Amino acid sequence: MNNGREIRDPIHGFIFRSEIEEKIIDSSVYQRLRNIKQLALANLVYPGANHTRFEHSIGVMHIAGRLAEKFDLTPDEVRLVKLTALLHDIGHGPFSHVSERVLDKYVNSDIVNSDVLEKIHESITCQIILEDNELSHLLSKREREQITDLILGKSSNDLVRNIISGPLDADKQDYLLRDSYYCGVRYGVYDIDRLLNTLCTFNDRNITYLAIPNESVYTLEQFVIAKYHMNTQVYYHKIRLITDSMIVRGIVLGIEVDDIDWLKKMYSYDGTSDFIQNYINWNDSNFFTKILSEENNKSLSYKYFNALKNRKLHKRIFTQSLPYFKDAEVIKYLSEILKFPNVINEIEKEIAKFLSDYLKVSISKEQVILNKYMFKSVKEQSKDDEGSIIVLTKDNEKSYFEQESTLFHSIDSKQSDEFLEIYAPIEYSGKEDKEKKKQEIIPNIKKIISEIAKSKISKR
Amino acid sequence: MLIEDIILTLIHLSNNSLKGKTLLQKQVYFISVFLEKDFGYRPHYYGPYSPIVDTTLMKLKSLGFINENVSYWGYDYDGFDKKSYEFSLTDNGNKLFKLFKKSDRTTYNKIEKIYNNMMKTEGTKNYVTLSVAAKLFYILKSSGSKLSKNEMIAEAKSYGWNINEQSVVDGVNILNTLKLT
Repeated sequence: MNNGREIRDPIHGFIFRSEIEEKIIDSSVYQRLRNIKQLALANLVYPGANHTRFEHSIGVMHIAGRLAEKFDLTPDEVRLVKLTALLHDIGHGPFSHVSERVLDKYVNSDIVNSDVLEKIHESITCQIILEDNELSHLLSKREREQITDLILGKSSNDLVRNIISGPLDADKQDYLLRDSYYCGVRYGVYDIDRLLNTLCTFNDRNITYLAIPNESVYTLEQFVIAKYHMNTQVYYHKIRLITDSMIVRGIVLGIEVDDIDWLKKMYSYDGTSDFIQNYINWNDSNFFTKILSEENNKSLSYKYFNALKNRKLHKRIFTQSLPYFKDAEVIKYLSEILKFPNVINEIEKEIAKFLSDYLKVSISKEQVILNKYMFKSVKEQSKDDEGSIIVLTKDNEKSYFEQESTLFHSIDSKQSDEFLEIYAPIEYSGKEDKEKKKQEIIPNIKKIISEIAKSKISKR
Repeated sequence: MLIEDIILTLIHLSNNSLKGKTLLQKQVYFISVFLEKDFGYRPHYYGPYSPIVDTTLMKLKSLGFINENVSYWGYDYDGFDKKSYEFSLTDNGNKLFKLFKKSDRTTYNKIEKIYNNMMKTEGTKNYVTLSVAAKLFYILKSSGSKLSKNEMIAEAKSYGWNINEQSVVDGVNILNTLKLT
């Protein structure tokens, strides 16, 4: 029943929405998503990447609806799966996923329980769905609870759960195409119609999974490769890693050094309704306006966000995979360095000192950022936390994507790497100057990091 | 931490040449059973499989502690490359293993004892029979009761595992010798 309530979407064409979906889209808490960019500041790399969580969530709802209809779900199930898809990102804060890192850091762990600590973003999403006034008028308590159960993976309806969260979920199916389109790249393009047509279900010990028949493995290969290429070219793009790190550092400095109350309030999740009421007032636009306001212009956070606004970005002055450090204990220690924020501070301080001396400019420890991340191999990326994608063999038996795909079967699985990077506000006068400075900077940074790591190891 | 140490130790105990991903997964599985640790094993194509063990192996490789050597030997009936994996400790991996052995001798001794006990048991050096034993143990543990040969075969089928009667006999023998039945 479309009742003529359609939205024109550049990815899926016409998207039809029901009356209740329309009312939810029109609610203030949903409209807020218009100002939360899907990829934070990726538009500093790809100028077209200005799309938001608003249209992405509508796209996910559309795909979830197509899947629900394909599998003949009951009208109640169709309604549930579409509403959940529509609301799945309602808890995003300014700069989308980047906010989550700050929330994780400042959550009030004395108050919230351990389950919530592991999934703060999901908990905020669920709390908004359960407590928001407008949503409470539009959806019954039972329905809101069914939606939050699905988001938290607690629902006993396996198929519906798999449509919302799993290696082939509606979310991934939308964001690959959408991010690709708005970034102006073609890496995320795959044949969505073919994929949706061929998806089937497999019942394994009374649990129903989304699966794909053996003869359609090629479509799935395209989907998995799209995900891999989007990771390499967009989500882990050098500039994106820098901007995300600068956003986090700017907020952390605002909280810890500038002592900005509204920032502390926004990121100190304590599970209360007061937190939620405040949180839903924030988006990318008013965050930028507030942090760049006159009253704040002496702060360190102001400097960071002003630099981001003007695209005066840090440079990546050091990037190495961990085996570069040679020493076994140092490598092992650095692989766990995110557990030791004080050591990270010490490393940043020493690097700042070295850079100031070497470049004869003033670089403070707050301006140096250490970032560590893992980039998984393409084979690893075909799975998610729930495991591998199920493929049905010609005899209707269960198999797995890595087994059935000729392409992925032959890919060597060992190409995953953990990287350690340093970003700092360095200027180069040209290519030659850059090369010359790097030759001096890289070995010195390696020395600083190794020495600090060794001193910590020896004190254990 | 413990999974990393177990993997390094198993490779060391295999004369620094552990052949096969499945063998490694199943050896860690039985070690976890004896140590009463939950490493998140669940049913997979080749039997109980732990994504955590897989991720840890990947991490150890990416950090340069384990070397993975892949050998190709022809094609199977679907046209796939037949390949086998051999894991060995690099110099750094060996250093890390020695550090573990020195710092936690008690755990090392436990792992070594379990490993030696497994190796004395006929069939455990072969990844196929060890995998069958792991599947049967998983089935028996999940059902919580004694099962007949046919019940085990039927139960295995529901996990997508095809096990014939002789394999059940061999697998149960391994479990009996390991005192796991």
